[in-house]
Amino acid sequence: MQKRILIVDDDDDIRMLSTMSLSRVAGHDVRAVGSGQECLDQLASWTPDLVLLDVMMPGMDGISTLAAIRSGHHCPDVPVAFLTASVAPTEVDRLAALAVLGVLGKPFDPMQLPAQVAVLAGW
Amino acid sequence: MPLSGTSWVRGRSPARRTVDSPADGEAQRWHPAWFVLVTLGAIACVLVIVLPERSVAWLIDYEGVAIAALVVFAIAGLRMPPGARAIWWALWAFQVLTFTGEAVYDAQHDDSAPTSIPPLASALYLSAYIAAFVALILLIRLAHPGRDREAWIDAGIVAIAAASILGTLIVAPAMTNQFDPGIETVVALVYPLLDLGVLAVMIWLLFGSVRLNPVLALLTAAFTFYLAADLLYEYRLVNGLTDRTWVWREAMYLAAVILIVAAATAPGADRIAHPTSATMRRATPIRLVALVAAVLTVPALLAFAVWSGRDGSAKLLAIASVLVIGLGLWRTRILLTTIEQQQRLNELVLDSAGDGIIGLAPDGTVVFVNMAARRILRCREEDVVERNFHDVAHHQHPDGTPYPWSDCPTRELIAQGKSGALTNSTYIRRDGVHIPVDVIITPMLAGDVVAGAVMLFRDISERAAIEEMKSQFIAIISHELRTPLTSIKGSLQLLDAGVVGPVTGEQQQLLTMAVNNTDRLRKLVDDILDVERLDAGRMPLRPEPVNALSLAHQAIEGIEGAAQSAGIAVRVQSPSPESTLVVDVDPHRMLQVLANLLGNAIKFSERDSTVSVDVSRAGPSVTIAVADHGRGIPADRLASVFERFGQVESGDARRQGGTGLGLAIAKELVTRSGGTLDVTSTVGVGSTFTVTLPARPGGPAEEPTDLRPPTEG
Repeated sequence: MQKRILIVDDDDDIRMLSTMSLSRVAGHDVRAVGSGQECLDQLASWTPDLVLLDVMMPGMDGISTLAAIRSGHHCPDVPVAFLTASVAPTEVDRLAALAVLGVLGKPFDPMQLPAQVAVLAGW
Repeated sequence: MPLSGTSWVRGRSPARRTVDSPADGEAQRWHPAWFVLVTLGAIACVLVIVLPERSVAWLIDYEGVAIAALVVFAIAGLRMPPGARAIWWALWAFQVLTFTGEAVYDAQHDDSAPTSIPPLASALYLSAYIAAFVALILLIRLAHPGRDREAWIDAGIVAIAAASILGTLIVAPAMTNQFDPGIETVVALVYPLLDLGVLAVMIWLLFGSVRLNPVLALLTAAFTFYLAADLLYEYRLVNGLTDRTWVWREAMYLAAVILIVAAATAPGADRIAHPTSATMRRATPIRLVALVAAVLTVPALLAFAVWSGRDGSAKLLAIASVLVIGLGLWRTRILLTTIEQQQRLNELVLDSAGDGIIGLAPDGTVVFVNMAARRILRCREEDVVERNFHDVAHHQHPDGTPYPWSDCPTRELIAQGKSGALTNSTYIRRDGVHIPVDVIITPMLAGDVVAGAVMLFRDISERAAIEEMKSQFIAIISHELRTPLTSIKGSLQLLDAGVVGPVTGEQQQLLTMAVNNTDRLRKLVDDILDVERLDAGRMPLRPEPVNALSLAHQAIEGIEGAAQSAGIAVRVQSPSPESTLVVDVDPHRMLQVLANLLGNAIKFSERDSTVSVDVSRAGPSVTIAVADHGRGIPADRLASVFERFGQVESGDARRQGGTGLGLAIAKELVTRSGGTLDVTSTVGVGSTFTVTLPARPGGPAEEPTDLRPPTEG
């Protein structure tokens, strides 16, 4: 079943890779933006089934973006999962404790990512 | 300073001997014969009073015992070491001269002129006192009490009190008689005065010792008897008494002789000349009691004299009282100054300390705060003293949530009288800023009662900032290394999977190789970060009850793919009931350990062989043994397999795709989980790595939690 997924990552390559993984491998409707602000702008006009959010981003980081989504006017209840390269156990615990579905780590296998996302989102 | 008498001391090693040690001489025993001789001496003194005067038995008792005592004294003197010898010989000379003087007096005394003293006897007596003073000067010079003003004052007070007592009892009654003092009487008065001088010096030396020195105490007692005897003589003289009280005097002389000999033969007599140290000048309780008693005695005697109408002695006692009270007040002032100086020194020491020091009452109230603590907390003394420290500087978590005193570990530690350290605690400065501190809490014990606690703390802001920077740096490095890896690996995997177009055989081979090597690179980054975290103590373990057998099964699931492609079968066996295999470990980390051990076992096994995993309960432990049938590890390399980059053969890392860090990390993780990781190996047969973990006491655990690590791709 096709889902709408919004990818937020400052790294162009990762954006392209995850987009390819989720759209070409799993056939989802994927949009990708490069910053937290763009994410909020996108959400104003487009409500996804899941937001895949990077954590370490210049300017507005993943955590503040999440807070902005949750306190915003547009789809504050949208499911969010972190996709992060920070894998320190304490950091993962801290992230998982926030209002998210879960935390996915980088590097990820683009062939496996759609399945992992589906498990997290309960599709 | 002669360190005499070493050879006299048995059973002590020279290394333990110190010149100043008050414990010196403890090892010396009081010989039973000493007590027997002193007891016999006491009996002899009593017999002097009891036996018919000047009978043969009396003479044998008095003269015989005195001569025997002097002979014993001479023998003891001969055995003295050089440092103490001169003092004792001088005292011996004093006694021999006095005794000879007595003999001359007895022989030449004219009973018809009771106040006259034969000139030869006088000469002998006076030279005896010269010998006594020589002994004292030697004693003072060798004992070296320094400029001990306090001891002199104390000796003065006690001497005046002693003179007042003896004067009231002996001299004053004589003064009330109609009496015209002859020249002999005035001369005879010299003896009690000389005795008093010697006694004062003796008391001074006695008080100069931090502990009751038995030798000095015996000498002091001896000279007290001399004084008493001479005062009695004086009393009889001025009263013209011819009754039997003279035997009391003789008994007291004998007692003095015996006491000096007892001192000469007492343990420690050979080291009487040891110097006193500054610490020995402190006021001891016995010294203070003696002083207070002395100061109170003289006015009491004055009151007694006034009450009984003895005006003559009342005048003298009034002068004595003024002297004694004056000296007492001076002494009190010195004592208070000393205490104040000591207090100031203590405060200076505490204030000069770089760490915050706070004294707490059992309820957490601040009773003391040093300068560093005030500086760290930016507060004044009155801001914290007599207030509950927790309420002042510990009442809030850094995030602003309240931190009640009932939750504070300090409270618990004080209540239990235990010491403890609080790391990563924060205190609140007076300006409201939270500062990270390391705290050490030590109970203040007054005997068995907890009187509070001492809190020693250090501002670790700087250290915390550096740690934070380091932590951030590692996080950034980790992120920066992973991000390109993610792109490379992901791209390769998409290519490899044919998502973007068909891949030919050789292309596939190259892509697989590239993917495998990015995996290896990722593993290396992970391992290096793990090592860093372990070193920095930033890898918290979250132990929970888990079943070791389930752990093994899950670890095997994780490496099944690798095992299959290597053509290796993995077998699990467990002879113990599953419920006995519960351990308290962090499941994710233990899984990492087992995955590493299994990965190694597969890597180093021959194709078509078996890797066996044996989970069993052995006494208080649960063991997980991973055995391979690989090439084995030579005995001389066994220990180094757990070292970082301690691969058995150089080139293994490249060939086997390992990082050389896996076993080091595994060992560290097992050790931190309270277990051990060991290896046994036979070259050509295989190796067995055994994880031993403490078994969880009690019943079976609940189902282990889902163990899928969040980072696994």
